Amino acid sequence: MDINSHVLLLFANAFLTTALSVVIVGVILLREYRPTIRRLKDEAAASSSADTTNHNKTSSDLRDLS
Amino acid sequence: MTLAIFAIVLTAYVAVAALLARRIKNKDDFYVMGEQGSTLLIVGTLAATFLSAVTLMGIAGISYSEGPLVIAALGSFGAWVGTLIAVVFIGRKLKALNCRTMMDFFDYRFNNKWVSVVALILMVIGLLGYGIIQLIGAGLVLAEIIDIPFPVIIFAFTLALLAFCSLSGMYGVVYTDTMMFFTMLAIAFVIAPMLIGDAGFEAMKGLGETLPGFWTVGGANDRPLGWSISQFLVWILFFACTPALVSRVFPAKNDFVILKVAVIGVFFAPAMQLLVFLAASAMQVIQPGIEPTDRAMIVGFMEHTNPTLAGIGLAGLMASIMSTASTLFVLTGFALARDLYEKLFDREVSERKGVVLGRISQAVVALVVCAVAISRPAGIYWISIYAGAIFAVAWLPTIVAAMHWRRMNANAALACMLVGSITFIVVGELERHGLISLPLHIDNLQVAILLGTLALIAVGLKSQPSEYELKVFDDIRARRLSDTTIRDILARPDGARELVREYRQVWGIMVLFVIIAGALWGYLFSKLGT
Repeated sequence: MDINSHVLLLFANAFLTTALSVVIVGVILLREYRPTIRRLKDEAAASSSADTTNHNKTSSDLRDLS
Repeated sequence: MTLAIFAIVLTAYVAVAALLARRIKNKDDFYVMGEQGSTLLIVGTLAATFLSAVTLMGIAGISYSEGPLVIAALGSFGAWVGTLIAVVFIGRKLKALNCRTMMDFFDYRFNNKWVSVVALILMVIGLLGYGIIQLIGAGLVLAEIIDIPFPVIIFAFTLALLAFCSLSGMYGVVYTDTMMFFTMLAIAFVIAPMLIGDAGFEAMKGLGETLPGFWTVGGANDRPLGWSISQFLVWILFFACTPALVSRVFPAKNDFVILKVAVIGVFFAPAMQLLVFLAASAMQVIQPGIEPTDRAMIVGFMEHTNPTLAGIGLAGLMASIMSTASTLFVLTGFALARDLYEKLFDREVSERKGVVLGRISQAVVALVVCAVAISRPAGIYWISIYAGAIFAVAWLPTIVAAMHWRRMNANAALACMLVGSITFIVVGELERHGLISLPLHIDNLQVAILLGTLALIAVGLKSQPSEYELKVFDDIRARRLSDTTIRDILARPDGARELVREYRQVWGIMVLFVIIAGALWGYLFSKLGT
């Protein structure tokens, strides 16, 4: 199969544009949002284990975070 | 029929703008839509502003005559990546600093009237020069298609632009941009595939035999690789800090909108452009010999599709002109009202008066644009040679250094902007008049960026930043849009759940668009590259 390397460059660059945007946004999410998401999940888990017999609506909602 | 479409489309935009005028209650509403921009609206305005008449006519014409890779493979790639930089690295940071315009950043960072004056002058020249020349070029084409005198077209356009910029400010621009985005999508995803289908992939590949080099980066005219690389540099540097694109994220509701736009909006840049360029190449199979070549896509949708699609194509061409022009002109109006009158002249202005002032300045801009575009003074063509790229040579090194270099100060900023812009124009003129010749593959933009950056570094090292500049630098480094977004969302009832939902949604969109991009480009490569 003959491949035109110039055409490959064109479509590779088009794909690379999306790939770059995904990588950059992924890094932002992991660095800037994941710590908070983790903290919220830990708090929810701690809160729900402290309240196992008390059917607290807030803690049962936050269990959904995990 | 064409006249009817022209009238209906313009009327629709003005009607939407008139409806939106009631939402303008204060300056924030006028300048940044009250920061209520949803993902759809910000994607719409970004993609519509990105795609201008340059894509549908100029570059499409080159794709038709020389091959679709000549500009797209490297030059357009630079534009796509530049857009990503503008959204994520510059726009997002400026929004974190509560900037309503890019000038707000210069004012905050340096608090120096001379820096603000020079930056403002460069911005107004850059925006107006680039915008007016596009309006003229596309207006001439439209006048021919619709068979209306050119001054009437320009007058009608500027009236429409005046309506939606002046009546509803950024609301008008963003909503009409999004309407325009859908007509552009129709060109890219309905009309272009039809033309490609009519030509057939095999016949398109066969153009490599009849026009040797058609499917290479050098194209049928065998342009050197160095030229293609310099095109990449021009577009990436220009798009990375042009106010037209950076300011698209200011109306966004929150950081999650911007992150989604960084994926979705930046996907549509190559998606819309490449399909248009491939369709233009298909026109070489369907109807070779079109002159001038920048009419290739227009001939395509006017003469090789059904009347409905032809009308949509015409609306799309109008959209490509107006979406870019509206953004450029509304930003110029903002510069006059807010950055010049309110800040540089130090006038305290109430919310209500601020909105009135904003509207008046839009009217002034519309009058100037209309007069210059109709009269077409020789000077405007000269200005346009340098207008667009002025942001690359003068602003980009300044903004990057302002964000990342602790020693950056007002003197270095002035040095960079003045040396960069003057070098760009002087070297360009000397070369144009044959008084100097630059080495192969080097152009005046590269020389100007290099000298501007060197001037910035030299002056930055020689002079000291003030206490204010050091304090602001630390503040800029510390402030993150994600912190504001997290705080705002968690303050709401059920905020934790909403935060997790938004977080997961962005991941979902990322996965989805990687799959879509892989499928689309993989399919086209299998048809055209093997």
